[in-house]
Amino acid sequence: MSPQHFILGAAAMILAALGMWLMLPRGRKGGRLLGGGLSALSLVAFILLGKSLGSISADLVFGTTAAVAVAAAAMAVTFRSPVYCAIWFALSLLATAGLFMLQGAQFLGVATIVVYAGAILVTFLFVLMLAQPGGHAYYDRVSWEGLLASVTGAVLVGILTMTVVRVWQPPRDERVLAALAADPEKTITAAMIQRARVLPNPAGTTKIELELAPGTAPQITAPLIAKLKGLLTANPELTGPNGQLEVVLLIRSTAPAPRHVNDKETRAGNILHPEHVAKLGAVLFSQHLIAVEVAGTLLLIALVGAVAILSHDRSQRTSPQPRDNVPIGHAAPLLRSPRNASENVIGANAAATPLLATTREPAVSSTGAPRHG
Amino acid sequence: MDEVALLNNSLIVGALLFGLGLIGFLARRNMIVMFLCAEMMLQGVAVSLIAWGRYHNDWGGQMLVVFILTVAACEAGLMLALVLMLFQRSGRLDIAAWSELREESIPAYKDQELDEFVSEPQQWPKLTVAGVQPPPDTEGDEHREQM
Repeated sequence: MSPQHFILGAAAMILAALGMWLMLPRGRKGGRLLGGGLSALSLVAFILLGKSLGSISADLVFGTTAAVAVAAAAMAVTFRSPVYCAIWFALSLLATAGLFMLQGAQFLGVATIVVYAGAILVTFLFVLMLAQPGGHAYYDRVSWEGLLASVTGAVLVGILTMTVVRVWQPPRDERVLAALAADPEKTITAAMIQRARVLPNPAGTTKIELELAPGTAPQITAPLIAKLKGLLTANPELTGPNGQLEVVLLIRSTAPAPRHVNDKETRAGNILHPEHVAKLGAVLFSQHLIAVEVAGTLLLIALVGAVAILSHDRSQRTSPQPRDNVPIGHAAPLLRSPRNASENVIGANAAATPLLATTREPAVSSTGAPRHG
Repeated sequence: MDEVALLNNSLIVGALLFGLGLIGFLARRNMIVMFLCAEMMLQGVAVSLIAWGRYHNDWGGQMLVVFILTVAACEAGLMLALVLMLFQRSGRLDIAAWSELREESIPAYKDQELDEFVSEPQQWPKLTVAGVQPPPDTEGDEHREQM
């Protein structure tokens, strides 16, 4: 991993953590725009990092779709109102479906739109209409430990991204490249070298690990190894203080390149087959038939379970309970009424008061705040 | 098309979606938003799986995503039922309403106080008495606290 990659990745991580922390609801105004700017900068850094890993033919389309997916996801996470969260989540889902289609998974792209946007999201909005009183509730305007959560997420993303970058761009020591470039016959060019590391050795000898890209380098013979050793020892920067050098060559050049990488015809016959759904269905209903049956059973169980949860709850609540809060459908805003305010602040009256005991107080409680006048 | 670049970029996008979902799941308090964030994490995994499947020319990735969609639908149905039940019991979508379920040795979470939220007793302006005193409007008293 080159230093540029490391700096770019670290900058993207720190910017993302700060930006997300500022964007998350913190119970006070201000800082959201700054957080959005930092997050956008972080997104740009991630795009640069992704572009440095090689170019895709549909680069602009992929980049735009991915940026929309990630930006909409950030909005969905940070917006205060759950309804807006759901709508941004829908946009993120649409962009993700676009990514699926770009990768040749048309069926799953359509299925994602139908299942999520068509069913789950509508149900979400239904629940929100049912359950959400007007105005932003207290719990939508604060978050648990926003900074810690942002740092956790950013560190996880950083580890995953840096792993991808490191696997794709293994270390290539400049001194080894320079030593091999001194060869007048150019037996091993820089493009063939996948990994070149100079390992420090306490014994005074320098150990060099050289890995050649599969399928590119010439046949490895004893004269070639002797020649490489000669080239490497000739470089004064590489040899240790006593002039000894041990070259460990990890060469996989004789193995042919894996056929599936960048081979259009192999993919066109299988995963990018023109009759996509037919192939997918054939695999699904032949190799995964039992799993399909189990999944169907799971859906049935979930349906029965959901009905059981709600009906059981309702049968338990036949006796009229004191309603703790504003009833469903009552448009009285929780925030603006001072009567409800003290009930919604957890531990506002006394920190030791149990939460549920606070909420079970009768609606007209003696909070000490005069109603008016 | 460079397949390795497509794989790498898709993996980064998947990691970003997963990380954003994780941040939201840890930080947000609204149960519905928490569940949206969990779904977002599933989306990140699905993006990665499809990219791996394409790279290896194998249907396994897409098969896994099909089953992820199924399980996510089951999960969504159960979750909405649970959220409705919890909302009917506590009267709000706040996950902190259920911190009663914590261990006895753990202290209660103390919420930060919001300025606009803990409102001061309101001082109405005092006007000099003028004219005839109107009859008391009991209906108006009912509505005044909403102002």
